[in-house]
Amino acid sequence: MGGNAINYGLLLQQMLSATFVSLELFFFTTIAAIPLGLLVTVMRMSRVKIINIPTRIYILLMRGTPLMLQLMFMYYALKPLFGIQLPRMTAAVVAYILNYAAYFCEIFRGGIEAIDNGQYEAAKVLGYTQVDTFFKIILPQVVKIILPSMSNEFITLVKDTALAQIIAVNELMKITEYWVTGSVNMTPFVIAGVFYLTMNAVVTRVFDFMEKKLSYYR
Amino acid sequence: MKKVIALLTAFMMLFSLVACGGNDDDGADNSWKNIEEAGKIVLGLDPSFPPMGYLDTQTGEYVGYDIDVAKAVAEKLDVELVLQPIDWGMKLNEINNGNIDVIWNGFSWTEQRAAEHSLSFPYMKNNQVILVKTDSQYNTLEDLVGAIMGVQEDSSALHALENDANKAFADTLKETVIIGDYAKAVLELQNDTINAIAIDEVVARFYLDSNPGAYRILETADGVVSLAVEDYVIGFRLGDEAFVEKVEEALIELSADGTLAKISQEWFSADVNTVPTTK
Repeated sequence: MGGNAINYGLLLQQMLSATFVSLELFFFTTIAAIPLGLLVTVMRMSRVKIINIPTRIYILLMRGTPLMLQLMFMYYALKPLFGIQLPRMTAAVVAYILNYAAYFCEIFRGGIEAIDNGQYEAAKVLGYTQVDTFFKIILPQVVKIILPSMSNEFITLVKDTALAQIIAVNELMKITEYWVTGSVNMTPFVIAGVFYLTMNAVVTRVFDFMEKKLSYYR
Repeated sequence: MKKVIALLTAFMMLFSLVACGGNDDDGADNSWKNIEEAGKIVLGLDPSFPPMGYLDTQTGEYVGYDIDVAKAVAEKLDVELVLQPIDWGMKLNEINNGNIDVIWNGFSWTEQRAAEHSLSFPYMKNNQVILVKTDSQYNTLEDLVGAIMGVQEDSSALHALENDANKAFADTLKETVIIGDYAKAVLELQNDTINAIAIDEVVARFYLDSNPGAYRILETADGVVSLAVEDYVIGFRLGDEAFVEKVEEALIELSADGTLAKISQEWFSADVNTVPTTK
């Protein structure tokens, strides 16, 4: 029967290409979930009930059910329910975006609500328009406030990409498991740990850098 | 959790099937025509099921007895074979949604599966056996009273344990731990978090070979202790009879010309295939 020795060159090569799958999930999610999260924040903070209430329900659904279930729903349930079959990767990306936008929304809202009302009043007195007030005065402060929470979410997202294996997306963790099975050897798991750690070390560095750049009052 | 959701989605699919009334809008069986038009068979496999289908850690490719036979069949039928790794717990959803065309990866015949799928004839016999550490004190099923048994989720070994025939035995166990795949079950066995594994004999033998001396299969003077004797079959979408027939014809031809015997020798050092040589 099959040999069990590990061809490490090939293992690293396959893990690297699986890492690209994980990174793809990561980048598509962050790129789309941030603007979507902002939009949801606006809707969530709206005083109009037909906008506000459905948004609250959406956030409750996204935060209140397991991401794994949402992934399965997106790939397996849409066809029997609505006749829509998304490709694997698309289903995964859509599920991640919808889920993370809900979390981002609450972080953005926390940041926006942390700004004192007096600042809006002062801006009004100084003759700023509402749009200028938001983009020139409020938003720069919000970004500073939410950075630590956002770095949490980004780091979690890197690790959450492993959940996509439930709908057979061959991301890093799943490929690693195949190698562990084929070789009856746990070493690939250790290597996978190093891969995730490296990715998150980069994420951490980027956020450290941004925090430093934005701490212009210190 | 996965099981519950799989069940739920299966129910939803059942409803939708009832709604469309058959496998196709006009009610005809176009399964083989569709495969022929697509020019490919998408085979769903759980690559953590050696030696039927797994990842060769030397070449990085999916290999196995089932894979070799499927390749030969695809060649006979003049279509391409696409290997799609899937989560084993999700296989029914994958095939009903049309993401894969066949489940061909150490898939044992069970009554439930016969109701959910169209199935091929049996192509190989399989035993459900018990794998333990070599230095453990277990020799018979009676010895396993109060032991912790590991088994793969939605596997035929699990079905065998839940079967009426084994209920008395299963009740003597302290616990049955359902594990994602057998690779992890073997790790648990190594770490003594479980005492024994209920497992397909072919898979058990793979682990015996991969780590000689570490494990043994429960055996008495009468031979291997078997929880159930089963047939491996190929799973198709329910109603894909035309496609089943095509695959069976190809298998019979391959059996007649000795190809199956040759592949079987390569993997098991014996001819274990049970495919008839004539119709």
